[in-house]
Amino acid sequence: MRDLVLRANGLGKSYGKTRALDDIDLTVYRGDICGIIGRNGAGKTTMLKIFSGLITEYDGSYEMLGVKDTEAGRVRFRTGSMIDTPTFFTELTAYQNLKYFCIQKGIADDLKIDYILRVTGLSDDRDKKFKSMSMGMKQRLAIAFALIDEPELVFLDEPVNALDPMGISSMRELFRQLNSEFETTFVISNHILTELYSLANRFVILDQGKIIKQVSKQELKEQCKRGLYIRCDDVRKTTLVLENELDLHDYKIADENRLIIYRFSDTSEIVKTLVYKDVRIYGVQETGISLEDYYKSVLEENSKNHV
Amino acid sequence: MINSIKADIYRILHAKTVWFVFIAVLLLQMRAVFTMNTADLFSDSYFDPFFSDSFIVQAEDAFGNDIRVMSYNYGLLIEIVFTTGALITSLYSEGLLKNSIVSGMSMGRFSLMKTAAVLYINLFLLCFQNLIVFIVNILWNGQENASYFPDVLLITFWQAFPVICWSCFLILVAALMRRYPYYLAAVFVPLITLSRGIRAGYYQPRVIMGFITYEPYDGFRIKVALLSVAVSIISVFLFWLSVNRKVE
Repeated sequence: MRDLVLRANGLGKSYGKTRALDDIDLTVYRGDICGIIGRNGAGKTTMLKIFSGLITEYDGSYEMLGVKDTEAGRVRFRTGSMIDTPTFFTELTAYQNLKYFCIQKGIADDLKIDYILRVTGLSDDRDKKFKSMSMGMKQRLAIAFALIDEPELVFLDEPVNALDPMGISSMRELFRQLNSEFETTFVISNHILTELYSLANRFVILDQGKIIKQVSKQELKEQCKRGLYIRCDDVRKTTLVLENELDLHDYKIADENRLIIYRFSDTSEIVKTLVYKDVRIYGVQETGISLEDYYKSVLEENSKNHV
Repeated sequence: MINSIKADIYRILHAKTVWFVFIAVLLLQMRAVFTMNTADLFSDSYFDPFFSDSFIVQAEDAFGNDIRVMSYNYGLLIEIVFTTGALITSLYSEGLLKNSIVSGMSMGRFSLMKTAAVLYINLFLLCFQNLIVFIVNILWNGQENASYFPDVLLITFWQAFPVICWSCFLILVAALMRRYPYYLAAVFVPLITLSRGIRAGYYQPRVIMGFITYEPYDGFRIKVALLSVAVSIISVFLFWLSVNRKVE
């Protein structure tokens, strides 16, 4: 049986009249890399803030590393977090900032600072003051801060947004390495979906404060395979046939001659019906879809259901 | 708690801004020596270029408060506000507090730790400052004042009470307001100080001033004073050593 590291039950949070997070049920197991996807204001950061202890007033409850949320402070030293904009003492260098927080946490081993600066690519900039750092460097420092004490559970809020391509790649490798060697569990929110797809093994899609889909990478791969790309003379007529004759509502129009159908059962039946209804078919291809397409289709389905 | 003190000392030793604030408040406190001398204490007026519209002011205000004592009190409070502000403002206003919270520290524990660190550093600074005030007093008022050596340890203990009160007040304001606590405190502290309701608090600076200028020479007190300063310096040095310890 897999070791449970995080479980949320009916988690919710309101800012005034705005419901930022609503009835969140989430389960994360040891060794998971859980990707949180959602548009701006979907509630990703709020959720991570609750788990990190930055928000203390919320509805519902959660368990973290075997203890209830009311006692989560006791185990928080076993977690690492990078939430919001990186903030450190502006007049101290990268090394000095990490040293300050290491002293405060009671970490005596300076070699840990050297190691984390090396793996996050800050070795050459260790003596640069925080105020003189680029955004990418600041983000690396924030990641270094989150990972310095070999945490079991790490919360990262858009950790690679300001990084250059090499930086993104090296961080991905670092997260993978920590995950495979030490079974470090990650909960990561990221808007770069291709990056998240290559890293995470579970995906949670949030919209308007609610989880609208939880899917494993395996399930996602299965679902992403199920795309039927159709090139035809009249997309509008095709969609009418799909909806009225075949009861297929999950599709995406690419342009006036092309569309992709999701979640279908029989390709031959679709082609046969379209031809029967005088739709000219120029090409049919079963194709995979990206996480981005999948995410969009889930959002669209959710908004349709909502209406 | 010890870790927080160690961390703040580490920061002080590496941040120019905090050094600048410390030196600035020490220079401010020098004012107490330059504007007061033994002859002034019993006179009706004295010279204060910092806190009066006219250069010569009456020794007592309309409420009967001794302005010279208030002046010294101001210096003390300004120092506490500045040093505490320098140590805590960025933690609250720039969001650095979150780095400690995500490490598992509760707001209450963080405030306690920070209060302890601020108190320690303020008291160290006071102790050191009293020594400097004494030396400048001798240079300014003549060698004969060497016989009125202040008991630095005792003075620091006297000053500890207002330091504790105001440091706790500032930490509380910072914890509650989160943003700009230093500026708020800088406005409110002098206003509160002026009220006649806490006039009793002026008694301590009066005694401190008496120590600086009138206490008779006592060889034992000199030893205790020097010992207290030495202990303060050694303790900071030990903290510095401990935070810079290399682990093999």
